[in-house]
Amino acid sequence: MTKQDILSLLKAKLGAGFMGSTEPIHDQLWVEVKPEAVVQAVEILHRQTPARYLVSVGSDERDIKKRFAVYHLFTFDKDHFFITLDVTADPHTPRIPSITNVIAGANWSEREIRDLLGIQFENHPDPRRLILADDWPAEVYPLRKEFDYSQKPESHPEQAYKFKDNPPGTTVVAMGPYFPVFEEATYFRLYVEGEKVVDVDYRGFYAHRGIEKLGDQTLTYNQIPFMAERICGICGFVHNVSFCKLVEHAADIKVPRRADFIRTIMLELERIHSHALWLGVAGHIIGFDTVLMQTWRMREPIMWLCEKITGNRKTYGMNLIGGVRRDIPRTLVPEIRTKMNNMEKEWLAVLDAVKDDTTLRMRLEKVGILNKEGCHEWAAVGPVARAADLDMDARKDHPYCAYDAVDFKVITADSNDVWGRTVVRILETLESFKIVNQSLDALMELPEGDIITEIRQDIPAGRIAISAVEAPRGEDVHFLLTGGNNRPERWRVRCPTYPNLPTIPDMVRGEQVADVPIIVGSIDPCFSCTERMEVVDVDSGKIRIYGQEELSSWTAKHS
Amino acid sequence: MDILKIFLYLLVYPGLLFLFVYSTFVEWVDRKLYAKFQNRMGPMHTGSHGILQPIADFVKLMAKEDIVPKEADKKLFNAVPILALTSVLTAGLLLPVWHFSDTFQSATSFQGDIIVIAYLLSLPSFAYFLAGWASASMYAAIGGVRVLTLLFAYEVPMFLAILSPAVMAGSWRLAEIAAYYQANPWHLLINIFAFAVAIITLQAKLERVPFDIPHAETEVVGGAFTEYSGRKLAMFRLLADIQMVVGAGLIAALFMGGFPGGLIPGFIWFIVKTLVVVFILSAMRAVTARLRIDQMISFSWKWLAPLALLQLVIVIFLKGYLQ
Repeated sequence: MTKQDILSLLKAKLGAGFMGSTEPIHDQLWVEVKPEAVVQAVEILHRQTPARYLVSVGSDERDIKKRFAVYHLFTFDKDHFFITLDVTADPHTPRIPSITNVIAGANWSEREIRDLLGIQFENHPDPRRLILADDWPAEVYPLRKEFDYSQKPESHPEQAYKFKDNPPGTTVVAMGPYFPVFEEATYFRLYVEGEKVVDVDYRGFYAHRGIEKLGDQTLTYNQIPFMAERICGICGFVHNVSFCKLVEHAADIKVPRRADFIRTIMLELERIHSHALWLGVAGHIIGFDTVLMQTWRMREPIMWLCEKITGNRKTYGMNLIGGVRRDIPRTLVPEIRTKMNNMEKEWLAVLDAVKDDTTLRMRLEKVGILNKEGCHEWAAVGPVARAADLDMDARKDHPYCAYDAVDFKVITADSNDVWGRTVVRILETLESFKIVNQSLDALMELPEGDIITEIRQDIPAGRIAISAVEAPRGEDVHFLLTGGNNRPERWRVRCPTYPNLPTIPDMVRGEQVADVPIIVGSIDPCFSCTERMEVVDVDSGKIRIYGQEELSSWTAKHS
Repeated sequence: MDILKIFLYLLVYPGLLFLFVYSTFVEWVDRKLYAKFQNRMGPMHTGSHGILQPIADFVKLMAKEDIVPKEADKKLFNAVPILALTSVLTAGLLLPVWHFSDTFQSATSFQGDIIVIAYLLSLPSFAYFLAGWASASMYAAIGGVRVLTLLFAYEVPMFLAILSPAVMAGSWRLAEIAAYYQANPWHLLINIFAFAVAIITLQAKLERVPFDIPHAETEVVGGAFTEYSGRKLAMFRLLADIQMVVGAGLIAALFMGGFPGGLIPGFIWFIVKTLVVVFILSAMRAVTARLRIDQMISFSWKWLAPLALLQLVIVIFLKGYLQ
């Protein structure tokens, strides 16, 4: 479907609800709709077109446009463009209809907007708190502009989070908030009958860091890439590239080709080590520690390689808006090639071993089913969606960096289960080796040193951009509305776990308790990505360093 | 002289001292092998190549704070580790290591000791269940129930498997069974299916991967041991090691011809044969993923039990034919 088709369809169906449209950037369509018409508009996009829901973004625009705004983001993967439904909410009593009854995947986005901006969504099926801590006072909305990022509201410990009631005849098994298998804090409350999971409730967002708020209020365009990289400890480079792409898109900055290839190489190295890490963790979850030990051993040379290229094993600090900070010299290319070839050989051996392993297949097959329809409903992304035979990959659908110049396949499977996700990840890694090798060829051709474009003017305010970058866990979406003072007006990060995590209840219902960890593991959850958004108090800004002796004396006192 | 011998038997070999020292050694071997399978080095620092690491771990755990949960059934909670440890230590005494004469019966070697040792080895499973019950913790309760479910899965195939060599030898006394196979080594080959079943069910009894379902840390934290710490946890860990030694010894006595030749050669045979069993157990641990409890039950009853029954039928027919 072309943009014109969509526009005429929406115009015809919505009538007076359609307020106008623009094309801020070539791959975007911006449609303003009246609040009354938004549910119908979403229904048309979701049910009658191949559009895929991404995320909803709330924005406090009372200063500039006298309104709160909610943007519902969709993508047309095969036609390579995004469409945004722009809904205006009243600046004093913001209230718009909820779209969660049409798209289940909008559940979290809307609750997040409600928590942080105070925009109410009518008819939301599950209006409980999502982001804010239990003791956060009601009616205090941290993402509103008048709320200072360093402000610390009073605690209200008497407020309690209400979990779902036990279904009759069930007992509660708590997986979380701290549980051996989850590296980060998260809470799955299982309602079980014997070993069977009847229902599940989720409470998360224990680790918000207020990164988006910092982007709105204190950081500048040059600092945010480094902050963005700290969103995630494993796929940080993805967020970093996503943000740089946003600004480059919005301000129409051309990146040197060499920088594109360097970014591509780093993104793929990240995918390789992330998938190796995942396979190991998955093995550990089902008690197969040999897989863990072997894949992590293979992963180690890649980590050293990253350190050699960037100076760090992780959190590379490579990107700036306009390009990258370090070149990959030609002298390093042969070593990267050798490491790639070695790992590829070992990875093929892993594939061989995993493919025919009886116990692995017993544990992974027909477990954690999420089919095509379910993925569409929850807007699931990445290997979860690809294992449900959905051919989607931001690298192909919205080519960025140098992905238009390299040849690779999008791996899909049709088994809808954990096994499918495993196979997709293993085969995807093989494609990554190909991409790195092709990018290295390109690096040998391109002139050394041309890696960054100097930006001479300010980034103009009021520009809009969306970027989608394929992280190892799925598609990472960033949204940007540029503002004054050399910083964004609104920057929204939707990491891949954000749409994937709410699918867990559907996947585990009816399964055994023993399968829950591997099912949760199968989406490769990354809670710190998902939970970016509580305000952290930095106090007076004074830093005090505690020495080992002081710390030990504390320990002695408390023991 | 006999009194002295019995005291030595109880306290030194194969009694308390030997079982303690050898079980820590076996744990070290197991850890080293497991590490080798995974391209790791395993323990390296305590003693030569970390050989004293299991003892260091034991001592350290003994010194740790021992917490009893407020809600727990305290008497039961405290008694269970001792009960379980005692039962496997007693089982160790029944191994025919010192080659008592076939005719002389004593408190540690008598007609029917094979049944007693099998039951003594099963007692820890009930102890684990009680431990889970007494802990008043959700994870411990699930772990405890899983222990029992697992027991129902492997216990019958295991008993059938260890009875086959006894039926073949025509005796219920371990020393006599071992003596029979020492006299007819080729008859060991008859029990090959039962041997496989016995090894697999021993792995299940020891609750090691792929059968570590009751205390799978990624599912139920520590299972029945979730609330245990310090001394009591040390006892549970020691008992698991001793159970491995005794289980391996039982398999060696039944399926590998026992430990002939008096004290010194018998001792060497014991070490060699149990280490062979431990090697198989370690390898199994390294190359499998954990099964689910329902998969374990169906595997047990679909494959292990019929295989053990088939073995018994073979043994009965062969016995008739050979006589």
